[in-house]
Amino acid sequence: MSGNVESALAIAAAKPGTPLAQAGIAVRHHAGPGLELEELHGVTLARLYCLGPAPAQADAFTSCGLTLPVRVNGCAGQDPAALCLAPGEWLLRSEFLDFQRLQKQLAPALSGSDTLLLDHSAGYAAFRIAGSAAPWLLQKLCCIDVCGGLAGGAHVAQARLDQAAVILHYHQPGGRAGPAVFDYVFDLVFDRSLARYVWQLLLLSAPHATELSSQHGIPA
Amino acid sequence: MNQPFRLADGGCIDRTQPLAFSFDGRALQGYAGDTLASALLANGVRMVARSFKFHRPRGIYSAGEEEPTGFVEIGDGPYHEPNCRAPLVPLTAGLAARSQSGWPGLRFDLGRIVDLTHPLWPAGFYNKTFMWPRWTAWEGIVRRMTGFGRAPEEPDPDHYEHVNVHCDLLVCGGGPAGLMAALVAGRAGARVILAEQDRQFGGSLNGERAELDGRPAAAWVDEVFAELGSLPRVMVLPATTVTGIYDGNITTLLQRGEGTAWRECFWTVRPHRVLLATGAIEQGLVFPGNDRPGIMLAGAVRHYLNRYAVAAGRTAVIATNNDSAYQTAFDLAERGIPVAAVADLRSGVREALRHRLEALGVSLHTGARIGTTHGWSGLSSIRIESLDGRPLARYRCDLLGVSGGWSARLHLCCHARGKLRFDIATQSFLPAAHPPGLEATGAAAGCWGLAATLAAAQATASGLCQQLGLTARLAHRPQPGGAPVEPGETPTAPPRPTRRRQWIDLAHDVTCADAELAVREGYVSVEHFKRYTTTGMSVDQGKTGNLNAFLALAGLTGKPVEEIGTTTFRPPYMPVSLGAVAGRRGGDFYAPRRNLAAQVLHEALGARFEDYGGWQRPECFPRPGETPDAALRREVLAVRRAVGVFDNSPLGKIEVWGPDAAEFLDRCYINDVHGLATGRCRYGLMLNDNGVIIDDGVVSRLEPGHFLVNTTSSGAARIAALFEEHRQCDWPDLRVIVANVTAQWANFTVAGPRARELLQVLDPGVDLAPAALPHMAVACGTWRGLPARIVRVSFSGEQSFEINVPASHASLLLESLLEAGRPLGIAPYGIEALMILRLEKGYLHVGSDTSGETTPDDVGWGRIARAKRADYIGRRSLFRAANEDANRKQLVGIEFPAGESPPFPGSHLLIGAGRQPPAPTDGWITSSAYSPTLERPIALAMLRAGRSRVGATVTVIDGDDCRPGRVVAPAFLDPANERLHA
Repeated sequence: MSGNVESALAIAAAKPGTPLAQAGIAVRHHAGPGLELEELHGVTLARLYCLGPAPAQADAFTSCGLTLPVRVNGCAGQDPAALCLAPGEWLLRSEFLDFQRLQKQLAPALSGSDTLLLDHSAGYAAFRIAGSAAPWLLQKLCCIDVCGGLAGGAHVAQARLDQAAVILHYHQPGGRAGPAVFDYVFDLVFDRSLARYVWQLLLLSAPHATELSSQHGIPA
Repeated sequence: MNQPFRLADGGCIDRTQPLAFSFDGRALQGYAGDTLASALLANGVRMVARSFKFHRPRGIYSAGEEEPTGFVEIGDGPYHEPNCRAPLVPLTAGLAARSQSGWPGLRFDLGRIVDLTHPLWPAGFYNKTFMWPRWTAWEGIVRRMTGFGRAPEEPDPDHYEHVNVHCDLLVCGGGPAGLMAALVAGRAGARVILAEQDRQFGGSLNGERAELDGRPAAAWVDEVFAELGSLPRVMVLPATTVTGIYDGNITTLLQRGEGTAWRECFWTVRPHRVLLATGAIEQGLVFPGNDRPGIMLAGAVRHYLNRYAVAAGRTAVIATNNDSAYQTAFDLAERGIPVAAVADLRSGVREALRHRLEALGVSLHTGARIGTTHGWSGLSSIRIESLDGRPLARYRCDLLGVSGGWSARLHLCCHARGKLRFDIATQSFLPAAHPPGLEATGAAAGCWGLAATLAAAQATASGLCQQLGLTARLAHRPQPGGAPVEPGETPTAPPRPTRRRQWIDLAHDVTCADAELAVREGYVSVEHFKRYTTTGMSVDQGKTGNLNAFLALAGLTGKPVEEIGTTTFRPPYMPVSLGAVAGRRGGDFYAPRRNLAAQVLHEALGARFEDYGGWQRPECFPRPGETPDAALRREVLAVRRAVGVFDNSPLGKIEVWGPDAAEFLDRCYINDVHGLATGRCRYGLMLNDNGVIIDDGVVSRLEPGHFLVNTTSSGAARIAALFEEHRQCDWPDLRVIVANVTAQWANFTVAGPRARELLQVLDPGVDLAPAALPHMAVACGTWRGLPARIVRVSFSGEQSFEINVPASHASLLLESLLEAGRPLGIAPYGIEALMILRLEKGYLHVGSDTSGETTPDDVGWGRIARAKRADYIGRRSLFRAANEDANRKQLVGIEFPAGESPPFPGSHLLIGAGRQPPAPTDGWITSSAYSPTLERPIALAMLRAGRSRVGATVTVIDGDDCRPGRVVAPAFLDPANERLHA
């Protein structure tokens, strides 16, 4: 048995807990009028840091199958997807590759002394917010222009959701979340210790978001 | 008919929906669409309140938020709300309103004695009297006599929402100007928010019999409203008051819910442009006895008549200094309400107005004013006199409509630091210069008349669209017909000298005599004048009183009003409930509660949780029937005698990576990092520029260019941000990456003489022998295929290992440790036990044992700080004379005899035995506890020249108790570190 397989089996046996489950919340999905909330499970989240000039680094990663957006707040790729958080800093996310496999895929580009890839999969909680009222739910809680940003296509932003620091990833319009297709799909990525707080805050705010959505539509 | 003052027809009320309500327990009826004020007037309720200071009868004065007299309280128990302005309270079925001043009641109020003795109570009387025996002895009485109702005592059961929103253009005000502007901008494709304070859009049109394009103006309002509703980028917010404009034109809105699950919603809007279409407020006139119920703003009389079909009296007189009040006379007379006379301050009146009055049979007195008014609980008659004081006529009337001109609503402009100028022709302050991104239109910009207002709004909105890069498509501009009379030229109407009382500010009972006194006493600056007289400082913020006050001050000082200026208008424009400001941030949502990854397991272990820096952390793990104190003792002794496990996951974990990582950290910490070998750790202190300790932690070298920095738990985010700031701003030349990985790694501390034994059972893939992994060493291994970092550091003084694994597996690791440790006598221990363990060892806890002036030398790290040759943050400050003073307070231990209780942290110290306060302090206790290991109380303290006083006795001032303590070295236990290195 190879080391990798042994490692994978051991991890599987170790029963990792999702942030919500570890905070004592058993239900990880909520469906309301115009809104679906879900805790994402098993998503690999890694931070990639580059010391060198971003365009040059981006070229190196392209050959490894990862398109790095150079513009801050830009997104590129499907899986793995790269979200540019700051100059020389990206959040990588994958639903199919675990961290080891992602690291292996990117190994040629990581071999230099200028790049660092760190696993944050266990450190982050990830929630998906989908539906026609999703922009209002986020607009209620964030001071950035969520509705106004919808026209710009997929992008990422760092903001405060009420009092929690979050990374907000907006998918392409008509995004797919699970089996259904929604008008709007957002992913929230944030410190796992805040999972219960954020989940309950979203549930508490959802009815008003639905009300706002039905009253005002989306003033994008 | 049970509403004797309700007209048989007309008004925008739903007569098919009668609503029962009560006022002071009296059952009354109104209609859907009424406000409390209109319903009270319809029922003939004239006196609704007693005045703030003199307890004089007061009625409804206006029809909007400017109301200075009609304050009532509504609701009961937790729904009780004082200071509601009757014109703003929508009438609802079962509404229970009450007067909020007067004892024993509104009609018979013993407080009226203050009115009868009014010469004794001039402005600022409380600053000059009641000095004996002291002010506080009188304060309660004065407060009971005055005040504005009772604050609710029960928690508010309602909930409040918050919304953030951005837009291109925020239009404040949904009157004709606001509607037209929103339509122009909306059609141009701008993201528009239109906020209107009223439930109904239309603004002044709602209270007028105006026509547009030959139809009632309401039809145009409905059309525009419908079109705005169909524009996808336009949001219309009724019942929403713009309460303030702040830096960058961030604007706050308060929306009142009706039939919603929430009571109020607080909007924070970030608009690119703000357009004030807020209209104008009619001002009153100042004359003797101008405060009686039945005296109302002429525009308000018209508003109640036209919008609610309510006659505010049976016989009316109008007093004015401008043309607009004539419309009130026309409307009243045409609806069959007798108008006895119109008194106009001006000698010349337009012929058209004069003829129309004649046609309606209304007497006109020009160059005339109100000489005095009569009535006990309401107006019964008035006397009109010429401007030189000759009596002209006396009329019996119960309604006096007054108009002293119109003042633009520019409070929001002032919030944004806009400058105002005084327009002499209209006697109104108008915008002199708009702040960036903000403009005014319509009456708010001094534009009077419907046609001119609509034209101005179109033009302003087009200009704003151009600024936003949009092309405006002008809407059809309807032509007014039968529009209300415009104010026109409005001469100054300053108060005149008379012995009778004339009110400048009805809300705060400020009279002309108060103004005269203020000026006599030298308060001639408008800001001083305001504070001395308290004019404009009531709930209404002087919306109908300020201009009177400025005119009075101008008259008394002989200066023009433009030179007097205005006071400063500050947000909020209207009172905002604290519930709306707080929104959902109460209870569990007051601040985020951070949960440990092993939270559920801790709960199963019986943990008592406490908030530590936002984290819900186990304080201790009491067993069934065990007290917390007993649990603490058991946990401490388990660590000292066997092994304990502590969830230290919130410990800050920052990875510093790159070729210049060592250099970077060397500049941040007082300890040498360059010389740290790979696989070893070093404790370090971090200072600010002043040389004061701001954090401590352990720096571990994982690889030559890769460090793991452990910070304090509460400092993790702060230190990561500080590192990032240094990296980006201070030392951009250093090639280094900073990554906060605190959340990624769960951290469990295994401490005690059997710690190694336990870890060996667990097998983390690391050689745990003392030689391979000595104290202050780090190793990376794997546990069950997971990456694991073992750091051998101790905060307890025992052999101790910190095990880090991915947080997703925290519970599994803790479960495994407890399972494997059961034969060894393992106990989970909480943060309180940890604090006792570190205190026994004399370890510093930054924040508890340090203050905003503690330097490394104060806590025994001076030699190391001085020895480091390389520069680091704070180094320069360490060598200032004040920081090298031998008399600085230094960290020491204080021990007490067994059987005593530990002193409270913060207890002051006096050097020597048997000392008594008062005396200058020589230091204070910073941490204290009863030591289960040593079986006596121990403490750490900062003591003046403490290190030189080891063995001396100090007096500890512990509340009222003064007791001796002996100064010792901070380490109470194992000073030779034998347990640590075991």
